[in-house]
Amino acid sequence: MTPAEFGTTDDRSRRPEDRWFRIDVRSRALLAFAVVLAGGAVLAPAAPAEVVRITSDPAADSDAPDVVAIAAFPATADAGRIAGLPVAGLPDDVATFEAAPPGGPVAYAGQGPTGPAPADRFDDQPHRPLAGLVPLGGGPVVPFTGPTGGPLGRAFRPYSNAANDQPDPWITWAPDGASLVLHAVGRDPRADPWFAAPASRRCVVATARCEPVAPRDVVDLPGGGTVQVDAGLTAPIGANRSLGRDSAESRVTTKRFRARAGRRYAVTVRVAGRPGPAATWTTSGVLRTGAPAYDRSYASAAGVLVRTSRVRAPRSSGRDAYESVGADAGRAAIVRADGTIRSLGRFGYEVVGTLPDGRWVLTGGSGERFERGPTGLPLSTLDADGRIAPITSGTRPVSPVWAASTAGLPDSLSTTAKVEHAGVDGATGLLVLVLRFSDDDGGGRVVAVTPDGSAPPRLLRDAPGRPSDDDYVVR
Amino acid sequence: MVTGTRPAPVLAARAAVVASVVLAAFPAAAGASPSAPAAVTRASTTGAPVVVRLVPESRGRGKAQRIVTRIDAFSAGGVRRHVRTVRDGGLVPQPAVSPDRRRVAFARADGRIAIVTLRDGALRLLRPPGLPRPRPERGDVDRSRWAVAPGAGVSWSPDGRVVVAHALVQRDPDRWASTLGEVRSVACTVASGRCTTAGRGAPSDLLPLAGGRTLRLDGPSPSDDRDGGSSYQLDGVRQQRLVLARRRDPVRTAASVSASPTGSGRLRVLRAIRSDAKAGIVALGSRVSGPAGVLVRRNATRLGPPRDQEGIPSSGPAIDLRSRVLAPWLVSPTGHLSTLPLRLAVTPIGTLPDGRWLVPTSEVRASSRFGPPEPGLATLDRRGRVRALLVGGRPVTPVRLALDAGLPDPFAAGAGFLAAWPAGDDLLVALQDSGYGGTVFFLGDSALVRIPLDGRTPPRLVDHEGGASYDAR
Repeated sequence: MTPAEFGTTDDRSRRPEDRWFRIDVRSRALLAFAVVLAGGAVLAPAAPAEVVRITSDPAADSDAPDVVAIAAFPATADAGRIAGLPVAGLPDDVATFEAAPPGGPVAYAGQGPTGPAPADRFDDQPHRPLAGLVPLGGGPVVPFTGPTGGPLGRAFRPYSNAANDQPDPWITWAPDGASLVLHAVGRDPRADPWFAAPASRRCVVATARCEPVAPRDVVDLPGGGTVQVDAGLTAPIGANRSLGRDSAESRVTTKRFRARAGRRYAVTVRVAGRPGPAATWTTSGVLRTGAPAYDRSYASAAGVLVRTSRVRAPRSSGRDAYESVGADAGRAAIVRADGTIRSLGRFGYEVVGTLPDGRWVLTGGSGERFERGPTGLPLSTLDADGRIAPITSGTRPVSPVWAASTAGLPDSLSTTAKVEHAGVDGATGLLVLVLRFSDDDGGGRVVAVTPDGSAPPRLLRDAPGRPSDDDYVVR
Repeated sequence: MVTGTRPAPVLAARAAVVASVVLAAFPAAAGASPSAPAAVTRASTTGAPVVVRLVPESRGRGKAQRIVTRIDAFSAGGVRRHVRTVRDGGLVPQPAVSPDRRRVAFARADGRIAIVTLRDGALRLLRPPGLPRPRPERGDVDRSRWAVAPGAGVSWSPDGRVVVAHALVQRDPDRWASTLGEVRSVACTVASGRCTTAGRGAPSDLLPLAGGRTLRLDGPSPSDDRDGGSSYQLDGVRQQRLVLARRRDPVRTAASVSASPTGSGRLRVLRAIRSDAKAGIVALGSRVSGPAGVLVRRNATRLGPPRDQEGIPSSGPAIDLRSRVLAPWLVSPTGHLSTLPLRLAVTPIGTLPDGRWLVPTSEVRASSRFGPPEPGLATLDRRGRVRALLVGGRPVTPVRLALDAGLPDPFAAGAGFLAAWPAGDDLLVALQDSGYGGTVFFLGDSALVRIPLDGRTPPRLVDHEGGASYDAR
């Protein structure tokens, strides 16, 4: 029995959240046997996992950069005892970190003011995308620039109009680590981001320069070639927006929206740069009933997972003073390493990491009777054939709340725990989870979970009261 | 159910025995440091506890759809038996098992008090006079804006002769006054079926004391557990002025003792406070009965125009409510009122045979900080001392309890304590998963867990049912 088949043996007449719990004793015994057999496959040994810790000091002077140190260490180490190397020149407004293949640098991306901004004038400053490289050996960061050495993207004014808030850039590394693609950068800053085509820039590590790849998104395919995504709409899952009529900017946006209400939007995925006929995948719809918008892609050793959201603008009654537009989970597709495409249904999971064999690690899910956060839902894996299987520790499904509580974190943290990054330490098979908590200012925590359930989850870092706000990346 | 009382004379004697056992076996309980863990001794009740659960169920479709209440009882071995199904129970009925463990009472959604015999399911309905008459155009709210409250708590007098429905009706609150609710309670004599009025003159609460006496409380009820304030936007300056003009209206808050089990007749006033919204209206919060008496939480709420950081009143159409938690009152079984030396910002969820209250956290003190306190069962004694309750050297927290009992992880992620009862060498704890909501009618997922206090045996799941409420005796 494969892990995927294991995931389908549950009693579906019960509530989804306790299907695993209702399995009878006999099934559990079979299950335990199957999972023990499959355990090696679930968390297949490969290269040792490395955790990169980026330490911030929120107590630092507001005019000084928050990020002060970086450290990389094996996932099995006691991270609290490992000192970080000082980092210079990293801007405060980094939204995401993405580590290159082992040994390489860590890339950062975000958006921030174009110049020095006093705290009370921060929102008034023009912003622009920021990205660069943090060398693991410490020292100054290497900011990315445009193709001629100029700024990376066009400046915009955030917060002046909700419709003009630009999404944070995100990063995918090329398999060889020589370059990366910076996504959601290079769009017209005056345009509503939801009604903009996807845009991306390819940045070369050696030169620290980025070339535009607009007007589409590009992700490197591990088997060679690229995955290209064209879309008329771009919106992150779960985002929502009300287009009020009170301000001039919004009126313009509402007008644009109405002009586009009946248009059919599509997301098209193409495989390029490979011999033979190019595979394509398309999904389309209209705003009133649900139009697909490109959300983002996730590369792994098995291929590229392309996730879309479904944007809907239900027809409002004449008395409503605004048009509301919301987005939730849409369909997804997997472009396999061999260039073929596997279409998936509505995909309500968050992708938090990849396994060495190319499977994606998922958190959350859309099988809930009521809307819930991912805290109590088991982590699962998605393979290139679209099969989803729960991740277990022994026979026990691994959920953020269980991992956090069993590792000894207090209830106030366990009940808001979410997995931010996940990876597997090839040497030990440990599942390494970076947990974040909504009510905690103390940064993330790293928890290691044994695949066979022989030991309870262990907290790798425990530094109560430490004035830091750490980010972690697992690779 | 949390407000349920126990037979006082029997419990007083038992509590004395239990207290002596606690003092002998656990010196820390005699008054050591506040951080010392609490000990729970064997419950004084004889035999296995009777556990009753109420579950709201939907019957019919369309206009014929109605909510019924399914009543089940659990035997000592955990076997569930259906007792009967009652109409109009509402979405959140709260059961109370009688002192003789033969009956269960709860308040229906129409304001009637249902008494069901557990053995044969016989139903008796008591109708208090003065219940508000719903107006069709206003739902269940009558002309004077009073309505039957959903899920009113019920408790029995120690001798089982009187049933009290706490906060049976409530005033439809203004937005600005939602933290200063007005409620009315009634008492019904089981034998005669007569109830005190739910209309004008009804007390805000009635709580049975020993010797047939009753504690009567009058005054508003707060809903806020913590220090803090909030501003409410009003529709216009005129409405704001009307509300602010009421700031000087005096409000009477009082605790009195009646010799009658229904709270009627002559009253001996223990404490009476006249306050106004400008100085701070004193409101009486949750009232929890136990062998040590009745614990009455209090807070004071000020009403005024919002002020900026320099203290200058705002001219906009908004008012500011700022509440402060006060030290609670303890009314002893003999009717003596004292003030505990702490600010109690949480509602106790049960009582122990030795008179201590079980509170859902050891952080019982008022705080204006954002976020919930760290949960973990603790005890509060009549001197105001709080100690964490440790089982097997570990705190009892909702998440750990749910995970150890095998409840689904989504339940554990949203679990909170609902109620607790001592049961022999164990503790019965009702948990509720409030979840993330997102729906109009979200019935909390409920579970009942039995915790062996020896610390060696893992907790055992007794029941898990959406929307269920429990009582045990």
